Amino acid sequence: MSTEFVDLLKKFPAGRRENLIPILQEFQDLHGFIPEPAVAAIAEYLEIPAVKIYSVATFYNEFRFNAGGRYHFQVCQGIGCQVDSSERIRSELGRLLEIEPGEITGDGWFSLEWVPCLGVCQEAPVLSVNGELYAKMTPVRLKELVDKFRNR
Amino acid sequence: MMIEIEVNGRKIKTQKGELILDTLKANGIHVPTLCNLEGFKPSGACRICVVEVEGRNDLVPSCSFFIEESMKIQTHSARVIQARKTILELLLSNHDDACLSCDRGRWCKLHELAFELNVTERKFGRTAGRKKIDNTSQAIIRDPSKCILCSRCVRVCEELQHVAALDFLKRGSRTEVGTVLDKGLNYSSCISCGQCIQVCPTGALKEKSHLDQVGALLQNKDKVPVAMIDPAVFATLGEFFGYKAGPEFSSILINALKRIGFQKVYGTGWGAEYQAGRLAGILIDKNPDENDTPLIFSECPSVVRYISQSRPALLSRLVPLKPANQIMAHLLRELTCNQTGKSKSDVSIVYLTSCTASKNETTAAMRIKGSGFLPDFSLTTREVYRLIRLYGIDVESLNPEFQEDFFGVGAKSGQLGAISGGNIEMLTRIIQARIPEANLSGEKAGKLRGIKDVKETTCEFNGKKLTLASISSITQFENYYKEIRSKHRKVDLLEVMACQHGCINGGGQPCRGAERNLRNRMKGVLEWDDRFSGIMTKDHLDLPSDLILNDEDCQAVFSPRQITK
Ligand code: SF4
Ligand code: SF4
Ligand code: FES
Ligand code: FES
Repeated sequence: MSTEFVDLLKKFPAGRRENLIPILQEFQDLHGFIPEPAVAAIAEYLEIPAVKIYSVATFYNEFRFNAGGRYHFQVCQGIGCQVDSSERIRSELGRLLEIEPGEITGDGWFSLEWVPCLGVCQEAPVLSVNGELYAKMTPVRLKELVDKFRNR
Repeated sequence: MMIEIEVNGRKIKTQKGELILDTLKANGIHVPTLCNLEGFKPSGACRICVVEVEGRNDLVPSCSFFIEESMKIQTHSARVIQARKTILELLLSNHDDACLSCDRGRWCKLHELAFELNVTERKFGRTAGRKKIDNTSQAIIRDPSKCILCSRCVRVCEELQHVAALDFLKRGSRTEVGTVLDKGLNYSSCISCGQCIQVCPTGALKEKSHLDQVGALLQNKDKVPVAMIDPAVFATLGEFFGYKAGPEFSSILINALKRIGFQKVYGTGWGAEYQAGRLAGILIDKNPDENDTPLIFSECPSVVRYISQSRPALLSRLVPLKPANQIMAHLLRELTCNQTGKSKSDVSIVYLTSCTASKNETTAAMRIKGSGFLPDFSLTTREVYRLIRLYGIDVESLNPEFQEDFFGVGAKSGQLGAISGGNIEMLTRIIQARIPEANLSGEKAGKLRGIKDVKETTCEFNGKKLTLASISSITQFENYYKEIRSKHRKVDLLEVMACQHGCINGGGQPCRGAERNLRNRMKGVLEWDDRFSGIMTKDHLDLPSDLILNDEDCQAVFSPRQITK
């Protein structure tokens, strides 16, 4: 196990599965994603099967297993947002960034993903960038948002 | 407490606190189930088992709801039937349509339910796209497009096998069953036991078929195909044809295989007894005070895989003997070469087995040509049935053909290897034959037989007393192992099988009806054994004079296998 993993894991008591989410969050914060070898390391440390770690991590939109762009867009695909035409947001975003879901822009700045319900349906349509929520999106507001990140 | 409830207008006596489904079953009322798994905690995932309870607005899943006093239940009201139908239609909307070419055939539970509930068309359009098939394992294939997310495989793999190779990934409409990092079964902790295939209601899980290769082999005039049959297949295959397990069907099977084109047909029993003889030698020489106990004896490739990838510290306890099928594959290859004058590479050994994990080994043989001790191909019981059908053999018209070959009659107790406890029984018989004054507690008391998780017996000779135990399923193994360690109990030998109750319940067996047929299979094995009961098990088996088997030939080498745990 790499020393980086050991140092991170040692902040938490061994064999206590209730710390799984905080541990995953630490890995995600550190790398922007969860490195694959971390799954086995966490499994060993918490004494739970590796597939359970993966199961929990894939349950939440928050966690990823590959490096996304500097700004990772997650567009809600839940029912509430679909009803409020998230479809338009999705295609508009694809047009603005010139990428499809799962892809990353050539300069490494943007990546795009569709995710299940983000949990704030009353604010639909919703998207999140690097975990921060943007509610009641319209094509106009979307363009402003993308421009804001582009010019950062 | 006994109470009275009403089901479909009929009064029924039952226990308070019993699951509704159990009460219905006990009273002959059939309610369909999909996710419910006997012997496991109910999961309530599929809802196909819903019933109407008077006074409640919602329908309740009978598999996970308890009986309450003066309950009034409707199991087949119009509302209930409509709900079940809709549930099934929704399940089908996400299910692959490739039913005509599905290997599950008429054993598909989904298909059966569609028939039962009169669902005759696709009501809802397909929502999910085709998902990637997991082909990574040499034994098990997973096709998530056919999965209905019932969770049966997940539960069996974790709770029965302590392996937890599978779990639900993602959530919502994207939920799927998968393996760690989505890399496929071969990368996971899977031990290829095939128990997940057994419980899957659909064709989402199946073995990697060798039928095409065996078909080509049978057509190849330059090759000599030899069938080698596992006792569990003898004890089970008859179920497909309505035959009782036992010697009669076994000989019919041999006849059928010869008609298909196998030049020679043998059992593996001889090899099992031969290796049990070697094991007896190890135990007789064993110093009873050694603290490396228990020795672990396993002919089961799933157990060996489990230990080598998840418990490498126990590798040194594994008795280093090759399993019977490898000994037999080697001998039969040599024997056939001697008899036909063909070269080794022209003789192909096809292993007919209830074991899906054996596919891992035969696949290795396919790659490393002529690796001597491994069979070339393996067919599960299900595949053997299909092979017989493929070749149009009318089993009913065949007469029994008793086997005259050397390996058919030499062994007296080798068939027992198909049931958990069988190897120990074989072993104690051989010890008894070698040391007539040995005192066994097991055999007569039937301690090693029947449907039990743990079977223990003792064996006293030369002033020492050995405790021998037999266990099946990996969870039971882990529990038992922990227990004897924590209580400092001395168990000298532990026979472990991955499939509960032994190979008769293997992952390659018929997908439906195991619960019903397990006892019959066990009886079939024991009856076969009884046929020889007048003949004492020998203290050792002699090889035919033209065959050689060195000590090293019989030994196995184990090494750790790296996986993501
Ligand atoms: S074959 Fe056995 S170990 Fe592998 S996934 Fe299925 S149940 Fe689990
Ligand atoms: S693979 Fe089969 S057993 Fe497993 S969840 Fe899917 S349908 Fe159920
Ligand atoms: S559907 Fe988009 S937030 Fe719930
Ligand atoms: S069988 Fe009862 S919910 Fe699935």
